[in-house]
Amino acid sequence: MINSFSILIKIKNFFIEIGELTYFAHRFFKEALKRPFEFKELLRQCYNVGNRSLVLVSVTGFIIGLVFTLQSRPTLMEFGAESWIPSMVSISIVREIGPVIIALICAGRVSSGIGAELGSMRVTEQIDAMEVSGTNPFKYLVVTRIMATTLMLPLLIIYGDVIALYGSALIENLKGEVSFQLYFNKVFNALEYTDIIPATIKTFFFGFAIGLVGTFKGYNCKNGTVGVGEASNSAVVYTSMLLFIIDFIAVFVSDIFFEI
Amino acid sequence: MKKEPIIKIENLKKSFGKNEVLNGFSMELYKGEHLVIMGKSGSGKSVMIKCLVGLMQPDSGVIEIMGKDIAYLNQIDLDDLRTEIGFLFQGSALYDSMTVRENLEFPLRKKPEKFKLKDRLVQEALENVGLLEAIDLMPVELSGGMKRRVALARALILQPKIIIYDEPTTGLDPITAKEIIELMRNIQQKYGTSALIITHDVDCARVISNRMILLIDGIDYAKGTFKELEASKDYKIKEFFK
Repeated sequence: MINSFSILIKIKNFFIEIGELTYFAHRFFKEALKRPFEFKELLRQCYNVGNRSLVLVSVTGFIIGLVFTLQSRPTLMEFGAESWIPSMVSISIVREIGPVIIALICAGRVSSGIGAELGSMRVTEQIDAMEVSGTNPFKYLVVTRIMATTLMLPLLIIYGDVIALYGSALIENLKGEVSFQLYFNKVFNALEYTDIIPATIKTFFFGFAIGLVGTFKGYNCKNGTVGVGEASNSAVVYTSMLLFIIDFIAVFVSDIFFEI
Repeated sequence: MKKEPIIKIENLKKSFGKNEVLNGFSMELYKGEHLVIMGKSGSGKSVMIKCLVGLMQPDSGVIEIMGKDIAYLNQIDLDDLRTEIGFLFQGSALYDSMTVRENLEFPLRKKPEKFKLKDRLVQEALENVGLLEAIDLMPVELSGGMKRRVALARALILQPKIIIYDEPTTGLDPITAKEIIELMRNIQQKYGTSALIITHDVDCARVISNRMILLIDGIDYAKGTFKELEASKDYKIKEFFK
């Protein structure tokens, strides 16, 4: 009885949180269109998001390409299909693996960072200080961060995809003696707009989700320093979950419009 | 002629669930006055000032600042009114990601005519608190007392008519606390600002107050000068001056 009651409360709290997140997103769109625009802070946040994640995305991207090629090579060789490696790897990376893995990495790095930063600003009354000085903290802190992640994530993912393809090309060059030029010729022959466009569009939504959840958790942080840890942790968990849901919807919609 | 209060609170009530924190609190702050509000921890002092500046919504009651009922102000008017109030937070609340200079420039963004003079105003504000050499430091590089002074400089930069001090001496050593109290007195003499001081530091109240209110059981339990309240026979009041 107690167990089923606590489960019901958890389900109720989950739906309340979804409602609050939706209201938070609605407020973002409302505030984003209002003057004054915080361009300077937006640029600073774009630099922060890009700079914070660049090394991580480079390393992750390179290893994805490297490992993916190494793992798929023996199986394809069994069928004498190793010449298909560049097209298979590039389509997989550009359509799915690159965007999802790099977005997950950024969720861990950026979303938790935003959650912790805004959370500590909340518990140390810095957000209250902004508000009493007559500045709208939502516009200054939240809108700029969500816009920065929405704009920067597609760039990071495109960059990560390119690095992953270089990793794959390196393995092909070392193991299969395929030149870089030949490898990339095969990649560009294999890739079509229907692979690139839907995959790029969904990265904007990934970026939006990372910024939205991170700011939501940090901005509404409670319970002092313990709350900061919780905000940072739950920002990663919620964002990761949301990324998979967005990915599912994106693939479903792409299937309708592009017949992938 | 009757003196008009610059802040007037009437019958303010605020509760969190079943916990009634404020249960009909009333007060007036007059121009140029230093009003100290004392109360035990958890007595609702911070809740009261958060309601006062619109950071929290009261359940009922009237709050008027410079003749304006804040319940009827839209966000733009409330933000404009807030620029007339300086707020010194208990933990200083300096923006961690900004230098001292940027912290002080931040409130000036609301007033373009003052933002043009930002260099001079920042320098002047830091000179007032004796910390000009810290202008390019980050908050993490400052001691507790220095942070409190920078926060005070930030609260003063728009030359507000009212300053609210939330526990200005809490967490400071006695010497630094004295320096902060001295600064508060100098500011009143120099600018003639009205001040609302929330504290449980009796020494601070003795030195700084023109008038005091004791916040007990969610109401303005006793009002008067420091000497009047100190001489009271009421055991609840006597507890504060032990």
